[in-house]
Amino acid sequence: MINGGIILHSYFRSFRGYLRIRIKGYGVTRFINICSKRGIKLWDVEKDNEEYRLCMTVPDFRKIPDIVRKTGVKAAIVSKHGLPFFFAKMSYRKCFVIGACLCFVGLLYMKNFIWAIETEGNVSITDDMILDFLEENDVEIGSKISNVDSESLEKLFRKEFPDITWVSVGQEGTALTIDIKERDVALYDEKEYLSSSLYAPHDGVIMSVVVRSGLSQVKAGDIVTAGQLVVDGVLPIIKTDGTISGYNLVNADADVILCYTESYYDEISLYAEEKIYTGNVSKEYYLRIGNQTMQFHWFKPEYEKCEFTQSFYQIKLWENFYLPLWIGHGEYKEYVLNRIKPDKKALEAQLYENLDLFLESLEEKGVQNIQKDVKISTGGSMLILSGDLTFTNPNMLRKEIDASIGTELENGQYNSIINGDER
Amino acid sequence: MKKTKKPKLLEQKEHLADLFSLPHDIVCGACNVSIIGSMRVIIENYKGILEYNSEEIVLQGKQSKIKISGCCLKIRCYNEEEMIIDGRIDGVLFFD
Repeated sequence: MINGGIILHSYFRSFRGYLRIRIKGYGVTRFINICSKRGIKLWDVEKDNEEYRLCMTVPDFRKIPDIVRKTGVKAAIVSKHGLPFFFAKMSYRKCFVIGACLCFVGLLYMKNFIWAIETEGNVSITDDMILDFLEENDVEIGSKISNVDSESLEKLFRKEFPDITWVSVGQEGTALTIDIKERDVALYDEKEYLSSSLYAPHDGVIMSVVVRSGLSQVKAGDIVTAGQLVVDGVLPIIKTDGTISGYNLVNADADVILCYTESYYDEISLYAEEKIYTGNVSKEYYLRIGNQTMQFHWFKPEYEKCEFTQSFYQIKLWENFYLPLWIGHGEYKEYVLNRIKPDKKALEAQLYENLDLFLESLEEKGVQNIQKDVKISTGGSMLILSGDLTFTNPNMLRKEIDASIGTELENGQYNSIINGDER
Repeated sequence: MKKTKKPKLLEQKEHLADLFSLPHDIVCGACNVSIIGSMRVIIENYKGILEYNSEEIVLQGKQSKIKISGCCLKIRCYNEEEMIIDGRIDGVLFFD
């Protein structure tokens, strides 16, 4: 018999019920041998001081009085194990059994509903947007799982959010899982335009133009205004005699660097209010069943100013069997406000730090700061950092060329002025 | 007379078992003892228990007696076909 067999037998015995008995006397080995000969199965035989303890099934126990008499040993039941004895015991605790059964039935019923919505992979589309969209489509916490059509929901997702390249709506336990893969924004821009032109995003001066595709409408040193055409995606087809026979629409592609100046303003109060916690904390606890929240607190805090934090935890069985049951706690922390005047140098450092952060955020987009002309001043109770910032921006605005222009051009209605092409 | 006959009969049985490639435990009635590490002994083809305590278990085999010595010995399963002894096994000895 291997280990697995022993374990299987022990489960089987537990199912049928068995007894642990105590044998005492001189003929114990004889008793065991006779039991074996008569087909009575014994297990877990142990010697405990002068007595032996062993296990046997209930029908076998009924056979042993004869052997006990014959061998002169004393046998007594030590304990009863297994399901039949468990049920017999439970018959005295009817309410408990009924409660356990109702709980089991309740769990079976609740597994038919969605009790949690989990989203994964979304970056630009927020969880709230997804939840609102699901709610519009009658899928929310408490909806029946059988009413959720994953395939049609996936289609609706792709329709509602064009940035989604792949979406999977699935169900794990009582949780609805939504896996999303979003489109890369840069690739999206390149792919979406069939033909486009580049326009200046700000008023400024063109520093350099290197055109790879399209017709340049400006040259280095030109002053442009915001929205002015910089590189045209409409290419004329010129015949050998110099006349235009038609137009090609292309995606304008060029390295255009635009220099522009922008005013900057940031202010910070010379006075600050500091929170000083008094150490008085009041806690309250919540139990939420479905949409109903029960609140338990020992006394209502009467703080003049307090900070309140709240958190909920959804109860789940195993990994994904969420239940419509939340426990939570809230905390009130009392504080008093203290008006302080921070060190002016520290405030100045804070303003410059804000400016650096602003420049860093622009740098991530490719916009380089080439000149800073800012100064600190005081206005009322505020410390102000203001001035002009000069940037070079290689990012031009890309706008799609209207396809109808192609036909208009053919009819000679579009007159494109082509200036020097610095290709 | 009996003492000389028994081994001879046994020898013949062993010879027969070898000749026909039959299992010795069935033909000769020998005990089948399997030892798993030093924590379990499985004995088949035995007659009964002669002595049992937590340090020593003596069994009556069909040909000889078997003494299993060790520590914290416990009969995990006991029926007519086999016996499983658990505990720390120090030795298994066959004697008459």
